[in-house]
Amino acid sequence: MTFAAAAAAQPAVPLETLDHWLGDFRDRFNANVRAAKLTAGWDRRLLVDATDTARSVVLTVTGTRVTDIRDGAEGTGDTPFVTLSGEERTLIEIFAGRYNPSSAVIDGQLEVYSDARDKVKLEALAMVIWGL
Amino acid sequence: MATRLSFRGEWLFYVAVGAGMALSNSAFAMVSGLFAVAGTGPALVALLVAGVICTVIGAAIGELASMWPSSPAVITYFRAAFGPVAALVLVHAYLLFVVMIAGVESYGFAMVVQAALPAVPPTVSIVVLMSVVVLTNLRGLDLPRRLQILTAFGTMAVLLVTATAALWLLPAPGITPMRDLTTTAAPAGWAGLPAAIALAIFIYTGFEWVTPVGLSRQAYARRVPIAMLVAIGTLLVTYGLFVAALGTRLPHGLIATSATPQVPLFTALLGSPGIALAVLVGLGAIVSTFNAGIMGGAQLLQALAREGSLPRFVARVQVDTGAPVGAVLVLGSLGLLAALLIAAFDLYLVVGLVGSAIICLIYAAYVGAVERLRRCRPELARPFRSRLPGASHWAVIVLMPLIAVASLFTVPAIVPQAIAGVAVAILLVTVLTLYSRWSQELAAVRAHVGAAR
Repeated sequence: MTFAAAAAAQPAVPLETLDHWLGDFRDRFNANVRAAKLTAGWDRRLLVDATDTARSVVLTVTGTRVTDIRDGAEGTGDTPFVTLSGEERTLIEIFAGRYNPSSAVIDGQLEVYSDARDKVKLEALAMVIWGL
Repeated sequence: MATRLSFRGEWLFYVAVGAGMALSNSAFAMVSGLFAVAGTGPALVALLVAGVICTVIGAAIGELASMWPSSPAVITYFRAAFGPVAALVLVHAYLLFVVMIAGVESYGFAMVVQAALPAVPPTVSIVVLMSVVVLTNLRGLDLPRRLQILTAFGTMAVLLVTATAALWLLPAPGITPMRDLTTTAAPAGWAGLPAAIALAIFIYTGFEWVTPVGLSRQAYARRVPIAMLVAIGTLLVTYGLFVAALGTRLPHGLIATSATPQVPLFTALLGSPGIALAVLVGLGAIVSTFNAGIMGGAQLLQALAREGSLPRFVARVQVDTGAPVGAVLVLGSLGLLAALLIAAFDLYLVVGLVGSAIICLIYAAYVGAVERLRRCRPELARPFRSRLPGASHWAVIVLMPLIAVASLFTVPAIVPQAIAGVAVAILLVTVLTLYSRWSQELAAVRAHVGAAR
């Protein structure tokens, strides 16, 4: 089997899933120069918590890059947590860049638990990554 | 970097945020305002009544906060309860109140600085203070939680100790304390009670700023709402002792004409080192108030701008820190303008009364939101529910607007300015709401055109 055929045989991540859009977010984040500037010295674990399906995913931001995405609420190391909580559908819309997280917070659809400074960073990240 | 708090530390943090916002130079100025409209007895009664009213409001806000944890409070609750237009009106009124607080706060601090350094004009202190506050926020600096706890409880401790010491050690100026509690030399006497209650509500204002800072969803079921009520209780005791000490140990006229009543009290107790202590308390108050106030207000402004309710430049962020540079500059500039106007025309009592009227209406709206949502959205989960009887809610909803209006007519010398201030406030809120509606519609059309392409 050729490499291309093997790659094609891999089960693709369905398009409208949280996993797909978290992966998309990681790719956009890591390719964005402004996001790198914004997150210099800002190492965090982002706990994405779907309240209706009880799914928890941790994105680890280290050295201005998203270095790890894994299931569960633990993540790696002692890096502080920032928790983003909402229904899975809402989280998908947000990470797909179709729902402004700032509006989601105002609408009461997204909950963010962190320091004020972390909230400011997240607002700015949404602006530079999705132009929202 | 964020520090993890123990269970007890988390409780202290919530109480510190709620009480810290209310331990402000603007609140000290309003304490002096109490004596401008009433005597010591009515002032203490007003503090107690306002404390009870704020407890009803705090429990109601606790219920709303548990329904939408971590949300930016005012806009989320009012939009859900009253719809987008009424919410915009109330949010713009709230932002106007934040600007007024920033103005009175800066002016109050400038007065304390002038007491310590008479050669420094208030305008210089105001400009320096607002520049430092704006620059700090632009750098994205945040007060660590432990320092926030220390500042709020330290300020409270100084007020409690000095007030108790003053009551214990200082002689009363020719009258017995008990007699002064039942008589008054104030212009309006007991008739000034409505205005005194409105000003006392201003003194407690800020306890609700704890609602967006909960550290987990679970915290909103009990810790955040209860901490708000504890903050109100501690403020009642602290300001109660402070007002009793002022009213029974210093001449009435001296307190009523000074925007910094803590300065004469500390000086009477400690001599000239008392001024240094007043500056220290003023700084502590500024740190705890402006840290959360400017950043919280700026985040609200930024959110409004990002959804198209305010000009886009208000949503601009600093590239390296992410700080909401546009919103901080707008809020800082308006706060500076308000402070300079207050200093130039000695408007702190007028602004205090107008601000009190606004916050009375906003607080009535919070309680109204609870009642409306219980009827319209009974299915929503309420991990914390106010156990106070519904009659107490309706009493607050009816009483607060009446207190707001009555307060404007209490001091005959400033009634025209107070009415003019309300007229300006109504005009500003109307213009801002109309602008927001137009801007939102424009943003929706642009989004539609963009999607079609």
